[in-house]
Amino acid sequence: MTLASAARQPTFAPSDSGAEKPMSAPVAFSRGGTPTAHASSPIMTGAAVLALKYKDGVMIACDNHLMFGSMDKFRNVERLITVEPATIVGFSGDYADFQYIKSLLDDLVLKERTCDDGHSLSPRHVFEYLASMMYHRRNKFDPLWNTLVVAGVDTQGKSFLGQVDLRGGSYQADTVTTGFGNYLGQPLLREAVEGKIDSIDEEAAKEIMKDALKVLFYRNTQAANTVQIGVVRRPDAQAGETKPTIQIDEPITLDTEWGFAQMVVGYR
Amino acid sequence: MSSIGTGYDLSCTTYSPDGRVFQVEYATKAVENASTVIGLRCKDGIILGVEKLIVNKLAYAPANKRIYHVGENIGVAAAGLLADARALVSRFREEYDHFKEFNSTVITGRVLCGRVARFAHAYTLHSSVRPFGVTALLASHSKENGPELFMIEPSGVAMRYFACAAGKGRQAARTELEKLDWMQLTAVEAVTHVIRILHIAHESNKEKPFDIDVSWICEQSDYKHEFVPDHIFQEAQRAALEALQPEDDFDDEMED
Amino acid sequence: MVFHQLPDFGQAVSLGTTIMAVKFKDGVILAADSRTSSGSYIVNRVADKLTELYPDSIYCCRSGSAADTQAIADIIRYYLQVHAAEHDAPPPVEIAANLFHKVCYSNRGMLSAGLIVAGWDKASGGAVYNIPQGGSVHQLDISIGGSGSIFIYGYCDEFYRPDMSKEECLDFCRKAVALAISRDGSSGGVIRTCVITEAGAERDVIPFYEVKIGPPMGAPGAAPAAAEAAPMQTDVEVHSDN
Repeated sequence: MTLASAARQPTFAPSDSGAEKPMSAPVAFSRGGTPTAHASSPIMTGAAVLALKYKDGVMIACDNHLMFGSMDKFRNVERLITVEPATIVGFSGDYADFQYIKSLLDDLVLKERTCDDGHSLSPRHVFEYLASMMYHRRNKFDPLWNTLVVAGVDTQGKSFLGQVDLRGGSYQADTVTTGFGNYLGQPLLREAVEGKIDSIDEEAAKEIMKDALKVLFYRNTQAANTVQIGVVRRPDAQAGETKPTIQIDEPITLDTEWGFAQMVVGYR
Repeated sequence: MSSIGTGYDLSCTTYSPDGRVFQVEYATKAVENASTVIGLRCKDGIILGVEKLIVNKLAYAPANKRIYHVGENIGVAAAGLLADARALVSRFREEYDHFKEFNSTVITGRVLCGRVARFAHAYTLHSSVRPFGVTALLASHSKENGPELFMIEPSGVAMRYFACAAGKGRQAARTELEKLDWMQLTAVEAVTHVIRILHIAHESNKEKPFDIDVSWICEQSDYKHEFVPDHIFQEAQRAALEALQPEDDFDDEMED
Repeated sequence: MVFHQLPDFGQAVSLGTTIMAVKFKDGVILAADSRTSSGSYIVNRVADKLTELYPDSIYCCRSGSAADTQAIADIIRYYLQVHAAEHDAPPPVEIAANLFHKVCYSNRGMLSAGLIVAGWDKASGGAVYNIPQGGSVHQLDISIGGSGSIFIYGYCDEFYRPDMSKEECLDFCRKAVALAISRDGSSGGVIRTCVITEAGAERDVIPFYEVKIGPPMGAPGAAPAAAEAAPMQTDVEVHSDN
């Protein structure tokens, strides 16, 4: 079944081609005995997110497209958001749900600010908040259909990288991927990063990302070749910095290789 | 308040024979005895300044707050009873949140002011409650209306101002504020004036030590409400004290 | 008689549709076909899918279930009146879009509604928002929707320019809807347009066969302006109660 057809009969029809495996029974029963469907399937979806730790902080990347089933519907969408002062959150899965999550995070940031008590949200706070919230929603049989990646630098200046899924399941790692990126991106990131974090500078990290994103574009129908890369850098004590810096680059188009198609003739 | 309305001043629900609501006037009195608060519109923003009397030297200084964040684009400075101020500010925040929840955009100062003023006014209508002993200065910025400054009084009366003051030193402060050509002031210049005027207003409370807090919404703050950064504040404080020098020699209590 | 061959009148009335809203130099233009069908029966061949939300400044195009989208539009129209009264000014287009987003997202799964909100306001000028199935909200320069839209993505991607004049943009929109009508069985009838600028909203109706299909005015290879069709002549006032 395609996503578009799932959208037309959303009640019990979780997608089988989206980034996540559907839950077994997204149904609760109302008092009358008739089933009440809460969980819908993803409709407007973002594809894989990739993230890694490197020498100076964390880097997170994804394309900036939204798919409607197999249609490349929106082609200039920010899929990475900043959560002040030192966190970037990226998502794959449903965009409407992510907009809702974004509004929750905006409220969280505002609450922290109005307290005006000298504390600030660290990536770990954001991570735990999201994990609890996502788990709460899955317990209501009304999950938010996203996999979220939380990347940032904590108050001790240490890199943080974690993932939360639609069931509230969460983990931290040096490399994190979602959706199709689990199959095609994760092996490439691990190969490049494991045991070498301290020797990878920002340029090198960017190359690793672009490489993995390129493979995704080659081999995933849902992936696009215009991508965004965001970083949260640890404060550089030698330069007198005391706070982490966040930077999300303008979208770039990946360089891809098609020349060898000339040599492919026929099918035998 | 010459006629002490015997029997007519115990409840908001009864007018005195000459048409006054004494409880509201008493609430206003509570504000008039409190430390001074001023607000000033400048060329591209709003400045809020408060005089904070130091009642207890052993109290944790940052906890003594009279300027509050309400939302990204809105700040409130309060003169009057501190506990009442906190209650009123929580109402500001509720209204802000409620509007944002509903419209997915931030509320304008004008609308927030109207809503909170109505709330304050409701506390002048019932026998079971007392009016807020607070005058609140509301600084806001919105895409539609730009920077705006409002003042809400205990009676629920609210108006938009280019400059306003409340609290003990309000008369002296207003006199000074009237002399300023606010349309020509940059935000940094306005901060200096606000600090200078707060020092002048403090004359009426001269024997008590005090601190000053200044917040702003302007281009430098990206049109968000925030406290004036320390280095700008220190520089403005120095310039303000210098400007005051001929009339007044200050001891160094403010230099910490 | 073979009853089971009759059309199924029991199916929900839905706007299998072509709708669009486009930003141009001075504001926005909304356009839509006029076919409303229930299964394969055309319930209304002159439906009005351009719905006023706030007089002279904000309209929306509706696609999906007629019942759902009408109910939502009625709710939003009310909220915009309240907003205007409290702010003493016409509401921003963004507010209308956010309200649609709120209603569509919080009732997600129970609604069939794909909406395009467009209009003009003082703070932003012309603005177009799309609230697709699922309830997300997207600000765009051009948005197309409904079953017919899938046939004109290529046309719109190729020929849309943000700096079009009113005449060029009207021509662009009419040709787009005419192209969709020609390929989509669920779209048909007349082409309604609504131009919204600072000066207000201006509606027009033109039958699909009067549109000469080809590159839009102002594009390379387009027909000169004089060859354009005149608005449809009607003796009766055109009503729509859908």
